[in-house]
Amino acid sequence: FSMQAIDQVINSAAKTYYMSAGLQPVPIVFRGPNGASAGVAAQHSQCFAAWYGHCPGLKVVSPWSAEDAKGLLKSAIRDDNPVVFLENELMYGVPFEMSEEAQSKDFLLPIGKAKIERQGNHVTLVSHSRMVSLCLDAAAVLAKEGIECEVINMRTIRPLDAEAIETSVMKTNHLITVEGGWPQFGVGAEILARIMEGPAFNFLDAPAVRVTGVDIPMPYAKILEDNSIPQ
Amino acid sequence: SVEEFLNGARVVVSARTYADFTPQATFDIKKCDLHKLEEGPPLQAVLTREEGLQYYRTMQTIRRMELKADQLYKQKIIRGFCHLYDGQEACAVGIETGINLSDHLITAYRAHGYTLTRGGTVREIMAELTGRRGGIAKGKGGSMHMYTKHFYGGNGIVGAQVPLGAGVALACKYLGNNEICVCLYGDGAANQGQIFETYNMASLWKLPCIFICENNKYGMGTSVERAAASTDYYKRGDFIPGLRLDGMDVLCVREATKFAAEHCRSGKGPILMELQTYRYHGHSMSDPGVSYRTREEIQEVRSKSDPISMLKDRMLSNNMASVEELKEIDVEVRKEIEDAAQFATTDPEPPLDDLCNHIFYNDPPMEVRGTNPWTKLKSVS
Repeated sequence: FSMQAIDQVINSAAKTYYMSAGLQPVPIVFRGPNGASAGVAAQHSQCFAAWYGHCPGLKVVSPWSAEDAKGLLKSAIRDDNPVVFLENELMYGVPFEMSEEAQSKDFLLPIGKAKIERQGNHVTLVSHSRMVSLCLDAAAVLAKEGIECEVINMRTIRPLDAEAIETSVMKTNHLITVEGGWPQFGVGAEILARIMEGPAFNFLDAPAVRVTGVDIPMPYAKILEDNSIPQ
Repeated sequence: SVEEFLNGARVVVSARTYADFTPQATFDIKKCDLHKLEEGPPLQAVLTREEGLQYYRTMQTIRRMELKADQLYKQKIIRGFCHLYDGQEACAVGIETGINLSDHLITAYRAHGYTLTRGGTVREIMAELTGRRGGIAKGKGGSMHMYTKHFYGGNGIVGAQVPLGAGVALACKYLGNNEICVCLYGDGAANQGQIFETYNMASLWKLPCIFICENNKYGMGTSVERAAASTDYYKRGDFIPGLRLDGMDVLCVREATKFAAEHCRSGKGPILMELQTYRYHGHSMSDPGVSYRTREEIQEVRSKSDPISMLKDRMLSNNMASVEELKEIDVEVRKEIEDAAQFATTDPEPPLDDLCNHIFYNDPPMEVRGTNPWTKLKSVS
């Protein structure tokens, strides 16, 4: 549904501080479920990370774990700028352990900083939201074969923590981005472009790869739906 | 006798001093059409000499400012969009006199008049039109994006300002500050879906919002008859009470606004006003304005309903001001506009290092990608 209101998010929220040359700040958080759920079909399954991530004046955040959700939402609310907070319906029911610190009243996470969820030396997996779970599962499987993955949870789509990704790629020499959204002009496309333009390019031993949702509207039948997103 | 004659002559001379002007007069104003209202605004308005001179000056300033903008646009010193307000001055001036500066106002793109009445200066407005650093938005907004305190633009997307205005009204209610929000839109925007969504929410939550439709009979080049199934814009709020009035009469607009403001402040919820007005220019500077209406029609409005002439005639025929006095105001206004235009054409353009500033508020400085990967530009809040 966010497309019904997207004009206000972009034209009335994101651009106003700039158009008014600093006279009118817009401290607001737009939050809601984003991306594919289960069985809700094409009109209710689109990932907007790339659409919102495209626009200057917005901050775009995509939490994965419970501590992400809490820390990033608090930071988003305290931020004096428009923040789009992309949640995931299927993650609402997933339990996570939370540290003492994470449970404290004023626990904040900085917007714009990614987190290394799992250390590794052989390949960097970069992801956001629900796909982080997928990457960690894949890392566990690959570990049995002796391949150690470094899994990066982006936490923020915009501004993108390119430095964290570059540092990791300069260590592992291999990069795979994983997202639920469509491939063209997506989050992975942006990450790959940045790696190309930055210092980490010379450290790649092979072209970077994007794992994405299939380039089709989301189908309804379970077998089709399961095969439309990364597994 | 000679003595009597001389006495008579002295009386005639002294009638021309300021002390002999009528300090205030009461004028009959047209009755408003009402929708879901038992009573409307009063049928008479009291105008003091000071108020009259002030309204005259402000309307004349808007008029001359817009005409100067027309000139500068044709000289290609102003570029892009330019939607002029001449003809509609009574709306902006009348509304402002019916509310306080501490109230809030938001409108669409035909906003230069409101930028002035809400506290902007002619200099800042003109320099914004010419895209200079002395502009009210430092040259970064342009014609459609001017802001001042409690004035939220200047909005380019048709109808988008209406939900925003209701949001401001919601903030007023939430904060309990007895302020209201005036939320303007045109006859074209009146058919926008988001406006009806806004009517619903504003009414449900009894928001202190005055919705005002400036009906200038044309949405770009489309006449109201061709655009709207119902041209009774004051009734389109359905469950929201409404009034329709003569938007060319500044006193009518003032009294209706006062009435509406009282309605909102007393907690009764939103109210809708339709101001019947007229724009002399086309929709924007790229529209000559004569392909969908006749020159005769424009001329007729100018000669019979011009808001500035109407006020002037009222004041002169009631001895509230002299012809010379008003001419003097004209001269002062012309000078103010000339000075502002001079500033607007000579002030330098914004510095390039302002390009990436004002992306975020209260944020540490950051880098912004330039047109290529090796160009990193600086951005501060």
